[in-house]
Amino acid sequence: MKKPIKVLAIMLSITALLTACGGPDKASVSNTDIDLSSYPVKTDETLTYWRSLPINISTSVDNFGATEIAQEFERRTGIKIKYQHPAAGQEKEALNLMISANELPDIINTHWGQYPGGPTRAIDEEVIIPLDEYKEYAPGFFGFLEKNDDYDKASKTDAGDHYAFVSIQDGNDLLVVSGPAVRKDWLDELGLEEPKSVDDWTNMLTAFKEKKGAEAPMSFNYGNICYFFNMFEAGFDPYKEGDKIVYAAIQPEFKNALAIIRDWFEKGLLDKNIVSVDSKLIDNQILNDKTGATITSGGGGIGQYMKMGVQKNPNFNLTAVPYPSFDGKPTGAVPIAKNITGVGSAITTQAKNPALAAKALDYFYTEEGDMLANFGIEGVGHTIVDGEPVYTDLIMNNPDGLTISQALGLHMLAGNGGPFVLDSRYIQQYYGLPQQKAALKNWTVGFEESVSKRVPMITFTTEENSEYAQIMTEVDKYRDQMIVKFINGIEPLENFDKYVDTMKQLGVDRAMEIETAALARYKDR
Amino acid sequence: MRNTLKQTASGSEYRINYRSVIKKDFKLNKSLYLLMLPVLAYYIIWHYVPMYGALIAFKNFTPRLGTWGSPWVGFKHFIDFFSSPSFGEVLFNTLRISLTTLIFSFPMPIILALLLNELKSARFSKLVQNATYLPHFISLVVICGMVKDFTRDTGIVSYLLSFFGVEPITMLNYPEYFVPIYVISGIWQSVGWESIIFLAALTGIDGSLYEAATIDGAGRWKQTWHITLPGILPTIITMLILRIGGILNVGYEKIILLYNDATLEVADVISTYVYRKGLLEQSWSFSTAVNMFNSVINLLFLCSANFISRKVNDTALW
Repeated sequence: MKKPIKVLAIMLSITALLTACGGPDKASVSNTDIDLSSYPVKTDETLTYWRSLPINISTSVDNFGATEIAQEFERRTGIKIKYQHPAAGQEKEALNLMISANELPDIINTHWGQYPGGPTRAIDEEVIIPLDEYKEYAPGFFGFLEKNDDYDKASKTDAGDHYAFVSIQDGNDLLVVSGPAVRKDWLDELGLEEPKSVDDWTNMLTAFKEKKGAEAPMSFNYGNICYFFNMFEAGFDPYKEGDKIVYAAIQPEFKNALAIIRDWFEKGLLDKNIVSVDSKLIDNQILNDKTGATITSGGGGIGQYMKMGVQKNPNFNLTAVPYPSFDGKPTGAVPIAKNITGVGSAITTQAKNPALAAKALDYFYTEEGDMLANFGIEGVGHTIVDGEPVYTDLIMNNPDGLTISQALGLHMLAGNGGPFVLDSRYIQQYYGLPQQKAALKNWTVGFEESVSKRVPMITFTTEENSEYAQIMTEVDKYRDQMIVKFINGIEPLENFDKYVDTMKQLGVDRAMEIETAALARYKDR
Repeated sequence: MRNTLKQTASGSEYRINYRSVIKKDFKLNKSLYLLMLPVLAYYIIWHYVPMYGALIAFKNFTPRLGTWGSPWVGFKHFIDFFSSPSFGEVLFNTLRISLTTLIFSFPMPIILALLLNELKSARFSKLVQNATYLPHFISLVVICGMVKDFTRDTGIVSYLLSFFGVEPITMLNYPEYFVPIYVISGIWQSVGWESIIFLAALTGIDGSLYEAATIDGAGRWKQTWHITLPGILPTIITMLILRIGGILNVGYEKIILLYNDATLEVADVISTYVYRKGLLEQSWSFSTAVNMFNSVINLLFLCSANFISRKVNDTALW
């Protein structure tokens, strides 16, 4: 027997039994007597709030309620919240089980863009409620959206329902998270320039291999494979081309990228087990001089490697470099996150007092709450220097030895989800090292063109979604399988056309039609 | 239980027999029946009650409408599954992994038990038993982590093989090595534990048979062949039938812990498919339908294995 299904079945039947015994208890809805016009709110009610606990917090405390930021929130708003956390790594399963058992907390924070069927389905199946009904209790959030039409479009469904208090990355600097980085100290030692074209890259990696004895001149956590394709002008997932959405992995650019990757692999410039390189292995390779070029994140990646690398070798210098250019032009395939991805806190249909929940979630969108969320308490998390908030040493140089992201996690929302409006001034300080500042500059070359290819936060109808999901499960699986074969040469690149044919048989065109239709609806919102 | 009795009764003389026999037995073995209660409750609560939930295989389940309220769709999910491109692949992979496991790992505990039985030194025998049980108690996650490290190009297995001129590679990146690694690591983990039942069966063989055989001049090999093996044959058959009944049951945990994009084509089985569909994509009804198909096939295998076994050698589960 398959365990999850068994558990599922059990949960279902238990729910059924409970329903049979008179239905779930209906909580009192008469909470109109609470004055919600201003903070702090006077109430004895405690809200339940389901959210995952990021690792930078869970290393210090085991409940979000124990953090400075949560306690300060309660002091300022007067609203008590009990936080519930799923086991790390099982967020999706935990959420789905909770929903199928129909036992919901007041508020759920998750990635609604990745929720099966998207926010539309969550509303249709009465898991969460549209927020518009409670607009009057959330002047901060709705006020912010009114000022920015793009944000407003991206935070509602086709039907015009706002589904959650969404996290908003407000600023271009915040949208480029991962990219290529190389050992600058090796470049200097070998007398090489920062690589620009693909040929430069090939020469550089060859030099790393021959002169520096790097076992795997380039290596990266295989989960970052999409960024690797982005390095060669190719996309990985569907992208926008004019009014249409196309599947990147069947385009000619994808074939070109595969040819370069295959070539590097054959020459031994990539780790020969690239498909099974995980985070543990890549750390080892980078810190032990086995790898000179990688793909990593600007914050946790470069920041961590620099910190640990210089302890062993004072010259260690892993710096962000631009994506390779083609014919001298910057690539238009820089991976760019959405300003609004769909991560956010939604109020469930079982919330006892939705107005109070809205009031609670709105706090971080008010002016005062926004500062608290981004920079913490004044005098504790930040001080004002020349009118600008600057993180204190408690954050940047924690006396208890916490890393920046751990310290941030305890004192503010920045760096661990939200929901709130994330400020660019956070990343400019968080990326403290010159190697990280280089990321902000180098990874955004080709930004404008890439933005035009980015697929916005479109939503599907329930019917569309079941067809789309059915097709894309097979399509993505086939893509992932074939990439490996093309790279290690089991499948010669001449068979790329056959691969495209198979993709068409699997229905990739139909899936893109569905996405294109959803894009048209998005524009009409 | 009373219901079934009443039904079979319907006016025949068996009624009195059955009833009185059970009554008598109950009086005699009150405490045994009491001991049985928790097990009975376990089966009812965790195996029979949930069967109600299997209804959703024929419905479009949504939590809001509940199991009963969701709309009926008939065999739609079954048809979707049979016509999906994954159907052939996952079914074939499941059968391949399952049959390989059956053929190679089923005889191992029997052989181990026979070998242990021949050991003279009780201390050594205990030592071997403990050593072979040990991996059974290690978490699967840890086992798979070890397997991954051992079979890496820098791991111990590749190192040992390099003495025989095999070039070291990371085996789990090659589809052709996936099934052997899966099966061999499975044997390593379970052989000791599974041999227990056969060891128990061995102690049940009458010692005088061996004495008689020795007098007749049978050697060790002949004794094993003519006394030991026939002696534990019913146990072997029972275990085999049970194994065949679970032929499509390949657990998803180990597969998910071991596979990657390179081995997906041989490693994707029904249970991993159900896991992805049901728990990750929330296609609850669809994955229930797939699982129900799985269970029906298993039941068919179980019944036919039992039937054949009863015809051929009079040993059967029922």
